[in-house]
Amino acid sequence: MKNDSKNPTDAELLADFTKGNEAAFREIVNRYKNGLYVFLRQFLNQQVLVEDVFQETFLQLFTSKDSFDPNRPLRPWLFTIAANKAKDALRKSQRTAAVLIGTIADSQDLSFDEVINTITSYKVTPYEELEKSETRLRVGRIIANMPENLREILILAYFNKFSYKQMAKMLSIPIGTVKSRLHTAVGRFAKEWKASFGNKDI
Amino acid sequence: MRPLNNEQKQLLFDYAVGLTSEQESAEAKALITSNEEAAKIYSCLKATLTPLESIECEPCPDELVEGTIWRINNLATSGHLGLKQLLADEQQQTVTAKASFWRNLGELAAMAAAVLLIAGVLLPWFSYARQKSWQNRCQMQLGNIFQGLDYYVSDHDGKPPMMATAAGTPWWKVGEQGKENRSNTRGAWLLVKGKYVEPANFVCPGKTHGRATPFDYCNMQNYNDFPDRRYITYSVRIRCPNAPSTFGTEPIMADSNPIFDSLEANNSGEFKLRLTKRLFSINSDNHNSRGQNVLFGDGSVKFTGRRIGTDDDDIFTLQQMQPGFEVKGCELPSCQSDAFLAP
Repeated sequence: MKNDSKNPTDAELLADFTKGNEAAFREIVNRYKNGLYVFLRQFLNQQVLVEDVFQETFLQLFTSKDSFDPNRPLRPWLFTIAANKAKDALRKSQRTAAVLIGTIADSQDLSFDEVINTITSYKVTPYEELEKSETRLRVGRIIANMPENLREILILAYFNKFSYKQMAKMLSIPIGTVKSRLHTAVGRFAKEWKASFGNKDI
Repeated sequence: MRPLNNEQKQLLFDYAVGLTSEQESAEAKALITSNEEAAKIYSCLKATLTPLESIECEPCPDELVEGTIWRINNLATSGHLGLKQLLADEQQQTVTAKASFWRNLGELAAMAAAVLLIAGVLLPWFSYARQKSWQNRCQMQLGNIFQGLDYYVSDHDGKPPMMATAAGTPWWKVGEQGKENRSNTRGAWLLVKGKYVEPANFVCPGKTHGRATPFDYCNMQNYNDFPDRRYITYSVRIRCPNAPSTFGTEPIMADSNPIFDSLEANNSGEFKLRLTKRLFSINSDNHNSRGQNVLFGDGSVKFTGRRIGTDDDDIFTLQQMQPGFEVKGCELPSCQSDAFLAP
C-alpha cells in the first residue's frame, strides 16, 4: 500500500532522490536534521566538528545515491555514518590538540551486577534541588568526559532509542557487548554524577 | 520473596532506559508492582537516569541545513561540469614528441633502481608493521572474548562456561562433535553458540596472515564444539578437577600452545608426544614465534616473549612435565597454581 503522498516514506523519498529529485533530498535532510544534530552535539561537543560531520553525513548519502538500497532503513544508516565520521573527526582533532585522557582511553567494563550495585548503593542526589542550568552543565560535562565508546552507546540507546539489535549492527559488535557497554555507561554516569557533588551533602 | 534473576534485572534496566517493547513494558510494570526489590532497583535506575533529561535538544540551525544543501548542490554541479572540463582539457592537450630510445632506457633504469632501493627499505618495515597490527588485533580479540565471557558469567549466576569431562578422557580432540566431551574448547564454543562472542574472535589474525576464516552461521547451533582447529587458534586453560569456578588473575587463554602444533586436524589415532628441551622454550607459532598474547582472569591481555604466567609457571606445560615426558593428551594439572593452556 502506498503512503499518502504528503507524507512519503523514507524508501519513497530515497527512490525519488535516486531518480534526481532534489526536493526529495531536501525532505530527507529536514526529516533527520534535528535528530542527527542533537546526536552530534552530544557526541562531539565541539560546534565546528558538529557542523562538519553533519554536512559530511548528508554528503555521504548524496554520493552513495546510486548504490544505496532504498529499502534499507535510513535512520540507522545515517546514524552509523554520522557516528563513524564523528569518531574520525575526534581522532583528527585529538592529533592536534591536547584532550582529557578519559575521553580517549577505552573503558573497563563493569559487570551488570556491579552496575546495579553501584546504582542502588548510592544515595542519588536529588537533581531537582539544583538549578536546571547547573544540572545541564554537570550532565554535559560528565557525558563529554566519558570514553568515546560509552558516550556513543549511551547517546544511541537513551536519547535515540535504537534497539540492541540495531546498535549491534551499527557498531559492528555482538549484542552482548552492546548490553554490557550500555550497563557500564549507565554505571559510570551514576558514579560520575554522584562524584560531581564531591563531599557536599545535599 | 525470591531474589530477582538477571533476566528480570535486565528487563528493569531496559524499561528504565526506554528500550522495551509494549509487551516487555507491561511485564516490567507488573514486576515492579509485585516485587519490592524490583521497585527499588527501578526507582534507583530512574533516579540515576533522570538528570540526563536536563540535556536540551536544540533544533538544528537553518543556516546549517542551507549550508549542507548548498555544498551538495555545489558538489553536484562541480561533478558534472568537472567531467566536461576534464574531457575538454584532454582533447586540447598537445601530444609531446617521443623521447629517444636511450633516454627512455636511462630513465627506466634509474626508476628501477629507485624502486628497488625503496622496496629494500620499506618491505621489512611493512612486514614488521603488519605483524604488529596482527598482534594488536589479536589482543583486541582476546579482550572481546573476555567481555563475552564476563557477560556469559553474569547471565549464568556467576558460572563460567564449562562442560563436564570424565576422568582420563582426552582433551585435545578439538572439533569432535560427539556427546562425550573430548575437547577442552567446548566451554569456549558455548560463548559462540550463545552469541556472546563473534566466532572470528577465536581466530588469531597472526595465524591466518590476516585472512578471514569463513564461518557457517546456519549450522552453528548443531555443533557441540568448534567445527575444527582452524576455528580456534587459541589455547584454553585446562583446570584442575577441584578448581573453583571463579577466575583469579591467572592466565585463562593464550595464543596456541606450540607443543600441540603437530596435532592431526582429523583427530585420528592416539596422541603421543615425547617432550624435547626445545619444546620448553619455543613461543606460539601465531606471531612468528616472537611471543604470545595471554588473556588473564582479570581481563587484561599481555604480549609476552616468555611463556610465564604467574609465579614463574610455564603456561604451556604442566609442572610434572620434564624433557623426555610423554604427553598423552589427557593429563590434568594437580593444583590450581599450575596453569596449563592447551591444546
